[in-house]
Amino acid sequence: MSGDGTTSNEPNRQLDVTGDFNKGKGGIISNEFFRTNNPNAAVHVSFVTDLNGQTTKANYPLGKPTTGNEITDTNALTFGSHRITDPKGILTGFGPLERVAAITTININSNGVAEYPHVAALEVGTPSTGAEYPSPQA
Amino acid sequence: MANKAASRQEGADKKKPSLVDFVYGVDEEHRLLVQVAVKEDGRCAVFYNRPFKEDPAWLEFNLGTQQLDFVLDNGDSRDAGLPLGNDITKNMQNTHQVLMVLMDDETGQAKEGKYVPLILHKEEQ
Repeated sequence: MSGDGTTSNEPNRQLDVTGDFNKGKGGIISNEFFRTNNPNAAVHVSFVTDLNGQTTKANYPLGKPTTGNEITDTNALTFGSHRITDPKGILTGFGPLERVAAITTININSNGVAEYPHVAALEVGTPSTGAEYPSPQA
Repeated sequence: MANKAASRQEGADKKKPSLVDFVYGVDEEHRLLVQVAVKEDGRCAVFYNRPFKEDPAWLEFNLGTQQLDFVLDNGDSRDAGLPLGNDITKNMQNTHQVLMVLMDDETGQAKEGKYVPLILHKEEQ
């Protein structure tokens, strides 16, 4: 039978890969099929089917090619309401600002009363998938 | 008049020692913002937005109470006011110095930085 990884005398049939994906059934993918030189082109895959016909959720999405310089809003370190910038290189020894494991912010008023900010300035721990698109504000 | 002065004095008496005592520029409109960030490898930075009157000689962090103290050369100390939390504590087990960074809170720009030794304590709560 063709398409299942075994040899056969049957001619290869043209698979409706996109249709299968749209139905959530997965499909057979290859790097060649999805290769693109257009950085704005994107293919999103939620399910993949291996040669044994087993459909699983894709462990990574195919998406917009990354440059390696992406900084996502969720991982950017902020102070107050501003993204931290370091034109003087003061934070060089601390390393990349978007790779912080934990952060705690404390606000202290003139009477010495301390409180945590009501809205977290930073959400950490969300790994980049490499398929993020710029936020509308960016 | 005397009552008003007495009342003001009473208010001053109620003001407890805090990290605000160590910095310039905190008033009713301008707060002190302290932000502690730590990486998985233990690298730690403390961002703050008001300059210290005297640079802290070292910091002390209690892994039990999760309290961070700023200590001056003369031994005077103030804590950060609140516990830093489990995630910070977990990642600060091997931290031995802290990068203290004075921030411009209008722009988010780092203005000055200095490494300060960190002493860890393990007293239970």
